[in-house]
Amino acid sequence: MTSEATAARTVTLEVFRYHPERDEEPSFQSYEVPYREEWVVLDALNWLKDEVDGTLSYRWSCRMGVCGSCGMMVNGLPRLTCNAFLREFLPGPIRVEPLRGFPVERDMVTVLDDFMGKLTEVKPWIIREQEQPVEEGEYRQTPSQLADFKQFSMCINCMLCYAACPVYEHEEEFIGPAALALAQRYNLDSRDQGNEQRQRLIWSDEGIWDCTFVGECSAVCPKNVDPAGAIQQAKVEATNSFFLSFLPFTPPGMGR
Amino acid sequence: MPGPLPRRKSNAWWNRGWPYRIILLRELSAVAVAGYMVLLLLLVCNVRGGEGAFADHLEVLQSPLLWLVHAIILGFAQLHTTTWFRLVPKAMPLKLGGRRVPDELIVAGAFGGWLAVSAVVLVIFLVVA
Amino acid sequence: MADDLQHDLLIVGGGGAGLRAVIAAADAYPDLAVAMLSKGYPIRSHTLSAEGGPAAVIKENDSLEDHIHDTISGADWLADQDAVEAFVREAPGEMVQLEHWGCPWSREEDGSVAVRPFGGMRIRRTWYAADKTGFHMLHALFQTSLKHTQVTRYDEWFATRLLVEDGRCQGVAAVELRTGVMRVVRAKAVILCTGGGGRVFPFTTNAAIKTGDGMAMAYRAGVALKDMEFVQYHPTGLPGTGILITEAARGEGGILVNTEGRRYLQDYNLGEPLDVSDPSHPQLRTMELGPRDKLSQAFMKEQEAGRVFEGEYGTYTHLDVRHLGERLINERIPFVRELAKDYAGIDPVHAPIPVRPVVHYMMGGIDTDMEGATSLPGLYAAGECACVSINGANRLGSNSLTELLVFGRRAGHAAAVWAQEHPEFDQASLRAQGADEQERIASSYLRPREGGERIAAIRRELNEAMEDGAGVYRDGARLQAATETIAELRGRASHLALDDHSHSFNTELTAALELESLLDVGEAVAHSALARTESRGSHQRTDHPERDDENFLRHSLAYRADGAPRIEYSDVTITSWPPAERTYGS
Repeated sequence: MTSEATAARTVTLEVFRYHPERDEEPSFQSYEVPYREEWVVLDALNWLKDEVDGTLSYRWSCRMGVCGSCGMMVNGLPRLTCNAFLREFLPGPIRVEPLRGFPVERDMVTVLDDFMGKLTEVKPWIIREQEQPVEEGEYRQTPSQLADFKQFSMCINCMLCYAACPVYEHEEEFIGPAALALAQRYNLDSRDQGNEQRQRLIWSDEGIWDCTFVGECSAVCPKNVDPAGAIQQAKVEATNSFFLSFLPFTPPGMGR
Repeated sequence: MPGPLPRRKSNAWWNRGWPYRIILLRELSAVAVAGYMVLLLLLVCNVRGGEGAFADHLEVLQSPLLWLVHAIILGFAQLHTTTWFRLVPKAMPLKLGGRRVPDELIVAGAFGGWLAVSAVVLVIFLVVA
Repeated sequence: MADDLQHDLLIVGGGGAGLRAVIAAADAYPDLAVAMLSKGYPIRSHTLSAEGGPAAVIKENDSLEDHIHDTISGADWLADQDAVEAFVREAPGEMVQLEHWGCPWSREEDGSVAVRPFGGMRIRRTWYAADKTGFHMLHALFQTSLKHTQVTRYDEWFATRLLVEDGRCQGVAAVELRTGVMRVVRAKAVILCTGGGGRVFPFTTNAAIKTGDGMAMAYRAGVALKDMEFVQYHPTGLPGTGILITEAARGEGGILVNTEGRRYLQDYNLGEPLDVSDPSHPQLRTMELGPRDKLSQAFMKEQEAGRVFEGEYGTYTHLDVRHLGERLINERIPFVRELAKDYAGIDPVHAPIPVRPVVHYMMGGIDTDMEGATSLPGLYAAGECACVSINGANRLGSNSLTELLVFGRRAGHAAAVWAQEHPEFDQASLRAQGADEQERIASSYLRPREGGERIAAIRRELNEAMEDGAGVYRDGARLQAATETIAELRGRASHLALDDHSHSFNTELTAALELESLLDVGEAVAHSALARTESRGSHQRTDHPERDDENFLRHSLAYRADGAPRIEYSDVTITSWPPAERTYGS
């Protein structure tokens, strides 16, 4: 299909609408947008905002899948709309909603306070007993040590994983996939010594043990971070640590 | 002013697609395993009841209903094992010589181990039988 | 109006420079009340789109002298050499500091940090974290900032005006987007770290948020915008979207090829090509590793000669990385592969990537000294929104990420000291200014109006005017036309009709405020470019093709005025490197 042939076509967008100053309940509004082969859902929303309805509200910025702003539910699945092509959803209609599991500020704009708080709670920074002065140069870290946590450092905080997680949907206290993966990222970093400081929260009921390993967080992750994997690894560590605590000595390689 | 729309939850989350349904089935497999335990306990009781009771037990086991029950239990056990083995590399990534072992290899190893153990069980069964 | 908010130090902008400034101030002065205000969440800032990496001397075969010389010659001698010297000296420490804060730099087998080559460098010195370096830097900085509990964050607040009283900047007026309420945020010192304004052009690597808001706020408050005519075109963006394909693709050995299969850069004084299988390929400061301005200009010449491909989204040449092989591509430039697959529909392992020059960076910005201080006491600036200047007429690839850290830290320190020495506020006056600003915004945008214009229409015309007048090659007549169009658009922009007159998360209002910023930035760029009748670095005038050191080895300073801005000039600081010819490829 050439793009000239498709230029005249349109596709229907069913967009979630909610305005906190006047709506008691959300509703859906249908719009016809031009169909273009290379357009993503975000392009269609931007076209609507520019040309048709300036009241449409959503977040976006980089339009190249790295800033994490434009996550929405597209036909029921959490997606980055800058990376969800209209052509995937033909013939339409395409239903666009705010990410599931979050309060809605307006239209597709969700309230992120809970997530931002959790991000801080897991202490996502290098913790050391003794800081090495900058003049003494970098901490050594081999490519293999880097590989231990690299994957978990790729999270763009887009929160698609929270929207995919039925546990978070039902239990707001759950720290959730991205924040737990971030904690694991620092725990696995050879430069970090903060494992114990993070444990109290990570190993609590709101932490890893709330996870029932549905695994959808990893399935929807646009950056292949695999938060489900991070959480299961932490569970294994916590379990090992629990049993080892009964031993009268620390086995070699088990202490930190 | 109504303000932000509160979080909404749905109890139909498990029906949002196959991945979620399979999770629910995997959780349900615990019920199947518990059911099999009941069958085993009955077997033990009947063995204790002497040769007659044991023969009765065997006869009951021949009934189509119990064949069906066993088939269902076996199905759930398979589901649990396969889904679990697929997840092993997530929980226990392996490194050899500084490089991470590919996930597929770990999964294959798990399935290989399973086959080996099954083979050993089969051999023992054949020898004893 | 709601109650005022008060802090010692306020940082506006949550990108790399802002976060570095926050940490510097909070680290050095734990009792200081530090606040960061940002129109988005800091984790969404455009720093994260940087792919290649920051430059800093660390390897034994490199020297500070080389980095200084590369930067100054790259800048076509318009950089202030004292600033460049300080920048280069402090760069390695900043990189190590970031390493200590957890940035996952790529490593050598022995555990030391790895470096890669970039354009215009004599020695390889770009630190990297695969090809998502900016992303990792931003998140490491943000996550580190979280441990400083004395820092207050105002996420998704849009600052619209600097509050100036007694000749001193004492805070900002800002809209809290969630409620739409205008608030006065008092601060004894303010640092602007709001990034560049690449969105004034139609085709740019810049994210939607990069609308030059801080530059415009300072400009309106009477601070000069320096060297605004210098706009960097990155030679390799994807046609259509303008998505950046990092210079690291060429640093790792990628080549640029025209329709005739020729590596055309050899025809533009950038040296002789080596075969891609030659172990010395790619050669530093040669061919594909020439500086960005020269590469972008070479493309335009190829286009004139008809040796570029025609596509639905304009012309392009080919960036070919196929010879690197799948393994190296996955290891060193995985994001390039991801982006090319998603947005150009080709896999660089098997096909060349279509690329064309795209607006990437503004060398110019708010006129500051080496401590980030502006001419307005109490106001500081750092990062792309500032112009120190180390970038002169053309920024060297890899220097902007380093600049965020070095000058973010410097501004953070200097502003913290200033804040402690200048405690008082004139509260009543600041409040009145806030009320005034609230009324201005309400009357301009939030009351229904008949027959006004749409924001997008004016933005589109501004974009076109900038591309026509102030693109890679410029001339007096087209620049004159651009300034006239901008003046006309300014008039029309005062009669916008918004669909949205509500308060909660009104992103159409945000777009209107951003359009104000874009018009200011565009005006400064076009007028500064019109006044500079020479060619230097990224500023190429076809009617004045030669560099003119006698008249223009000077920084331009654009001051806002009624009508056209006033353009003045200031001297460039030369310490040890007298102006010479820029040569590459030898």
